[in-house]
Amino acid sequence: MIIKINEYSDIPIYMQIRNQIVMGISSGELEAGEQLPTVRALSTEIGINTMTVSKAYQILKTEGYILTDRKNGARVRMEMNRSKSINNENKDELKRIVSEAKLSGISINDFKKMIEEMWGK
Amino acid sequence: MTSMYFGLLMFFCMVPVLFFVFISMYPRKWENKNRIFGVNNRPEFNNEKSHEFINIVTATHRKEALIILILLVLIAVALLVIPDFTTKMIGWSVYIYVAFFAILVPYALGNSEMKKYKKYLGVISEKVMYADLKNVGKIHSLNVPMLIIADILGLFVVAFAVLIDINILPINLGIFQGTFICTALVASITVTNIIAAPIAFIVDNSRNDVISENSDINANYNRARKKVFTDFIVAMSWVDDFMAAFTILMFIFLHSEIVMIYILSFYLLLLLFSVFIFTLRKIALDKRYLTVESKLIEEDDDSWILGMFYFNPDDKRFSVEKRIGMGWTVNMAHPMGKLISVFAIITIVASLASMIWIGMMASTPIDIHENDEYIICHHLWDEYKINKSEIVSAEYSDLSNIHAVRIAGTGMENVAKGDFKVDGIGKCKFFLNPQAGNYIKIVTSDQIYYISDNTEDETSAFFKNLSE
Repeated sequence: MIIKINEYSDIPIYMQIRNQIVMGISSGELEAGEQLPTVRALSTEIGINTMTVSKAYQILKTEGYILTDRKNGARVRMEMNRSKSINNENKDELKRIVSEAKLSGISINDFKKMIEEMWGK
Repeated sequence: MTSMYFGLLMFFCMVPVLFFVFISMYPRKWENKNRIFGVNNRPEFNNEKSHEFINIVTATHRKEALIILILLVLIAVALLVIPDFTTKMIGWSVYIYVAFFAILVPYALGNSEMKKYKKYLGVISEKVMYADLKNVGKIHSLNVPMLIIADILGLFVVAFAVLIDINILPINLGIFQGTFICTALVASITVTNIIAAPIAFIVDNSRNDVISENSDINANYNRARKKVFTDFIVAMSWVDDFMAAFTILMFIFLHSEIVMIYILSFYLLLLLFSVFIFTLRKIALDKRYLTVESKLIEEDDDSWILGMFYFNPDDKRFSVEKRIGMGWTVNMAHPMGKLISVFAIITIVASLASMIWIGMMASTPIDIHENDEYIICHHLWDEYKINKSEIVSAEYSDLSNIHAVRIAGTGMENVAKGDFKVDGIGKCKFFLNPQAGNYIKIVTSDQIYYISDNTEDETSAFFKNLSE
């Protein structure tokens, strides 16, 4: 799985890492139980501070996407916490995206199709 | 003879290297290259207007580089005809710096123009970095046992040379026995192993390039890329060991100074051959994997000063792969990179200063004179004083009668001063001009001196005065 880090982006680097790992898990690019690189290895690879990667892993752990332990490092969780709901922050984000889509003139069917494609992916 | 041999050796090493630099840095066609003067080849460059502009830029700087190359070859030919060894050595040393600087000037100009053109097109550097999560920290190619064995073997060879020099092993080095010249030469060959080993580990653990969306392609490319470089270092470590052992054998069987020139020449040729093989493998690898279409562009053009020096304070890595040439370079914004850059600058300045120093030594004639108490030998800042009352004997003779090896001091065509070991006599003090042809041997109660003035006539006249 390729992760892309944009140093000039408004999104902090640790969030970029977090988001892309979440997308990787969702799309199946990162399988359940799959080993993630160590904090040091990933920070060396991207050329960023170890604390940045550590923060991203910490968030992923708190959110229940990965497990970390001293012996095995970080792994994708075998079973995710399926709350069957999305949090308020994401709801607000979704609201913004839907609003912009409406303003752009896209039809609801096309928008749904787009979501279905993304969902399937 | 030595001067001519040295000149030819330098000529046949330098000229092909310069041709190779020209061919690799100034290609005729830029369209299928990943970079143009160190700036990423982008889809935005493929329209007609850009094509025309880049054609002009590349052709102009290629032409400039070609003119510089021709001039450099002519200068190299001119250096061949310098008869004096010291002048020739200084000339070639300065030539190496000038040649590499000059041939890179059009490249730097091209880099600057391409960056400006990128700005003109409105291409903004996004500073994007890619990482292939599946390969992070997993791609290694270094043959660690082979490298370690080569390094240990090298240390054994040095230890063997030391044991010979300190007479623990009953092997005769002839006039070189006890001078540590053999040990110094062997150590200087094997010390490159000690420097190369950490570089091999750094490269083996360096970040992986992302050239494709496919992790397997990325893994294969990076494994091969690291293997080409680490194989080169491992091979060179074994070559060094072989050369070090060969050096000892040469010292044992040929008790002659010419041995060092043969060893150095052979070593340079081996090095050149290894670099050639390494380059061919690298070109084949890049041809196979790096196509403009497949490459994910990492936008860090602005971090490459003149397209050659990497300076990126946001990048915590110490070393990165070079954009021109082969191998890796340091991130000059990294604390360690800063230290190495300062060290490199000091080395360049020091070597140029040493050239000036050698030039002064070669151009300043040695001088011997006397007063009532002493014979005074003077050359630049060095002065030997021989107390006349301590002189036991003095004789005047022809230099061709003695065979001496320098232990410490200066040994140039027209200046030999310092500690030398004379065949059949042992350690002596030299202060003479070998070109003068004759010498005065002065034996005092605690030292033997071989001195001369700047010419045979002056030496003869001085001896006459001294005898009277």
